[in-house]
Amino acid sequence: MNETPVMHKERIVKDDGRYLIFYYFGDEPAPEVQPSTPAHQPASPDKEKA
Amino acid sequence: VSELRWNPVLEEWVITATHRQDRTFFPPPEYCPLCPTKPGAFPTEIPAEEYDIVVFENKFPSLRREPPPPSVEGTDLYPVRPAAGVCEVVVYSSDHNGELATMPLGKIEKLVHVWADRFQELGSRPEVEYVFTFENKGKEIGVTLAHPHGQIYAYPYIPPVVERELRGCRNHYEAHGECLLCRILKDELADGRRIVAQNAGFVALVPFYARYPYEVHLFAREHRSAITDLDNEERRCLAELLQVVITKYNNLWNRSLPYIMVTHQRPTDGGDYPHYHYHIEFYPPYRTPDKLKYLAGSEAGAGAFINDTHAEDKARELRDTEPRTS
Repeated sequence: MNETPVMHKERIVKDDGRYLIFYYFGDEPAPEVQPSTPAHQPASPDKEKA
Repeated sequence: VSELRWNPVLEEWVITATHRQDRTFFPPPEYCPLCPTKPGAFPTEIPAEEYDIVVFENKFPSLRREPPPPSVEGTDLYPVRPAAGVCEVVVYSSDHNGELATMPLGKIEKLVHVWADRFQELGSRPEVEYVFTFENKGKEIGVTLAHPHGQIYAYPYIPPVVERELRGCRNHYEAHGECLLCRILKDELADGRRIVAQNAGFVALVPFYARYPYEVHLFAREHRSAITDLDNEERRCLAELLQVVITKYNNLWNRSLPYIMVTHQRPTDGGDYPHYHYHIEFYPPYRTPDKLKYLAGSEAGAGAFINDTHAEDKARELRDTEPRTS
């Protein structure tokens, strides 16, 4: 069986409240995203199914 | 404005989403909203160029995490619900001109892992009962953005086609004590005439009951109910067979073939689905190099598909198209 690829996620929120997730694979940590506008904010986690 | 309206005749929900009339329609490449934002240029959806896969909420969603109240009041005859759920766009690459078939195998494998992650996250949301991953490719299918991408709809109900499949699979399971798709796969492998390609983890075939001439289904060899049940080797095998099938499609007539690709897997409504089997279905709209298979009177009005071809012939044609696998 193959090793599990290391998956990194960088989650931001757009001006209008929609989320966007960058997926990166590899041993290196995810690069810090430089948003195109200052209104992108880190997202809060969504509620989960009980 | 979006809402769910109940059709009491067919007993199914219809999503109304009037704001989608205004969605972006085939912009020129320099205004593609799925390309990375360039310095000094207009802001696209994606504010960075270096990534493997990007997922974001659709700007023109049919379903929303925080849906508005319905625009009309429901009645006992016509129940109405907010259009709760999530609609995501999955961008495969920052390259505007790519497509799945031309991407490295490793890239497609990463996409499979992202699909699994989205199934896990979206399926854990309390309002989501079904996570539906799909790709519409080609203007013949109604695609409005050429940039390579797929979509994910997280529905607050089990959609009708899946519900019907679940019922058929449950009926067979209760009558025979076996998974229906495991049985179909076993018989198809023994017969061989409708097999298109295969590897250690997946089998691609034109189903005996194909509705479209070049319809192909990819079945997990082992009994799996959802993408999260696949181990890493099975995910690699799925990526490899996806690449093989789509490359065959493109080599069939030496052009990029449009298709609808959908994933069918167990619901996320908390139910038990041991009778259901993970698989992917492709529906290319062409029946010859220059003739489309239209969904006309019989198909659209009666739900009765008429296929002008035999699955055995189309499977042989695809099997004989490069790349060939054992």
